[in-house]
Amino acid sequence: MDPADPSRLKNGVLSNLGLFIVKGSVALSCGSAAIYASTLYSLSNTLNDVFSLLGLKMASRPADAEHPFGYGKELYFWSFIAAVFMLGFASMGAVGRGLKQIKEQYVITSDILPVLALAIAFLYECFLLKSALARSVPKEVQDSDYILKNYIRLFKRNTNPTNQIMVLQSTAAVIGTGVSLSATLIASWTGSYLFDGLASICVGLLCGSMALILAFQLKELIIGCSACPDTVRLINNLAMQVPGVTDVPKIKTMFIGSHSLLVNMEIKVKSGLDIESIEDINDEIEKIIKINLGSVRHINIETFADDMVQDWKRKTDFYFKSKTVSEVM
Amino acid sequence: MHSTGYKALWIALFANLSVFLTKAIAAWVGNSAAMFSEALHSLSDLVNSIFLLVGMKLASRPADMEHPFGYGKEVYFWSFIASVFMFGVTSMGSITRGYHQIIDPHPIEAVELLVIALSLAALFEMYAVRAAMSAVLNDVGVQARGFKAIAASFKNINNVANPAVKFVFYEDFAALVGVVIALIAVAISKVTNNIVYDGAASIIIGIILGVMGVMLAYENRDMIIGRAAHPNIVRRIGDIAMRVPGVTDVQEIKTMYIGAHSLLVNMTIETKPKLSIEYADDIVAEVEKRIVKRLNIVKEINIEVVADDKISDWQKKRTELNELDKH
Repeated sequence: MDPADPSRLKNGVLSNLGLFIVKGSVALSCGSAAIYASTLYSLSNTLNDVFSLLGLKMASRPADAEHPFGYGKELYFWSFIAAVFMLGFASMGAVGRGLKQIKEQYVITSDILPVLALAIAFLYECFLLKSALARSVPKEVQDSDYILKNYIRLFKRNTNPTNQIMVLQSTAAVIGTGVSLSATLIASWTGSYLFDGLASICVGLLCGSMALILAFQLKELIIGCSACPDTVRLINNLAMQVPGVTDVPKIKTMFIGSHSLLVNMEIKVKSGLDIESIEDINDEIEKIIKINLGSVRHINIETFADDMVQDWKRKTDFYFKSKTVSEVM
Repeated sequence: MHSTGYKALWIALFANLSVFLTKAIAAWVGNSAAMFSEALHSLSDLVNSIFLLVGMKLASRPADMEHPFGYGKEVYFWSFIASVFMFGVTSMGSITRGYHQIIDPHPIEAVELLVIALSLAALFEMYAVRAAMSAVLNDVGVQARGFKAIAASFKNINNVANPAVKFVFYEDFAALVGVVIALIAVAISKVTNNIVYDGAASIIIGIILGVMGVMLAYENRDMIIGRAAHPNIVRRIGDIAMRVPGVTDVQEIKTMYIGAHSLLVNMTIETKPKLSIEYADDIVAEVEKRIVKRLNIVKEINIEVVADDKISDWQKKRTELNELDKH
């Protein structure tokens, strides 16, 4: 379930490196642009995982005085660099190679071995996609029979964005290898030079658009996007369960790492309570939220008295704000 | 950001555009690699100011449900993209061009035009450096004039709190150095009739651009990750809170920049254990009011109240901040 699990990334580096070597040697042996593009794709996936590992390493440093909320966003920063590399190097390289292949009208020589190697790579990537899906959709809501249903559910923006990135990458890898496999087959069937180059351009474009989607998602995370409405509602419900809390006017959340969420909330409590009981209430809320939501790392709770007379003005102010919160939730 | 800030940026954009066009035409006519690198240098400055404008425009959007803390970090994001461009396109481009000039030299022409264009650019950059130096001196509060100002700004550059001021200083200084190198290289190439100097200058400018790109990326990385306010600001926040009647101690202050002009403050204050919530509520409101009034930069503030534990955390924290400030 943890998308930024180092062991997953290490496996990712190894398997993508393996794919890179297999595809690279096939591309060298038969001079196919499509397989070359697919090789570049595997290389960029390998680098992506390496950068994620690096980012994770940097992100795991404890918070210090200069960075009191920790280094969680390092992961996004390094992933963003990987996305730029993917766009600038892998995508441009594949498109350029495809254009060259078409211009030179190069006919590829292929036999059973490269096709076999690619088919194995394709199957392996399908397997990787399946395991990525299984990791990213929580067990409780998983329908093991309907992969597509899980897939759609994942993109309804109710999961950790890092999961979406991971699944998107695996999907694009499957499509990319599929395209180059079929292009190789068609090319050897028809003996035409065109398909190989076209497939290479297609893979390059796919890689480029993946990089753009990735960059866009990462941009959201870098700027500071909130948790999904479901999570905010859950936080609200949990806080309301604690005895003494009468209202939760405001909850603000922001991802500050792949697995750490900042929560700033305001609560109202029964009037007449003293500070010691308020502290107990706050501790209780923090405890219950942290138990239920593992990703919440920082909570700050501002407490207000629930009294209509003294704070009437502030209360009306809150009324409008709480209305907008409930509208979206 | 206010309209005056935008105006300054637009002026910078048009200044960079005209400098870029001048240098590009001179490089095209004179066929000089050093001039080409200088044109790329101005191009990256131009791109930088365009992205800064885009970032500021996007950052000024109000907070919404998806981004409850606002869009302030857009500025750093776009600035980061500009640094990637600076590194990948302009730095690599000018190093490649210099390499080609060395292995396959083309004689440079219209040296007079090149010298005039570069001298004008040098004057322009000197003006920019002067402005950047006075910004540095302003920031640290040192009075100096003439050549003393140059020495003073170099001595104090590490004490500057505002990272943008620091970066602009380095950037303008690097631009001036680049122009001077190009000028010298063109002159030497003409006198000795050896084009290698032209190519070497292009490579040196390319390396300077690359270093600047990495520095800019590094600066933005810190802001993207979530950097705390300067210890001075944290200390002021704590002191303001301590002066509010009813606050017995400040247990914790966590700050993070969520934009160029907005700071998030999460703090925990202590009050007497038996105080009722109505009073505590007013104390919190008072603390918030005072902090926001004194420090305009504080845009988000959340204060948790706990009972006094008889340990003076703020005393300890304050000495820690003083220590941190000294480094």
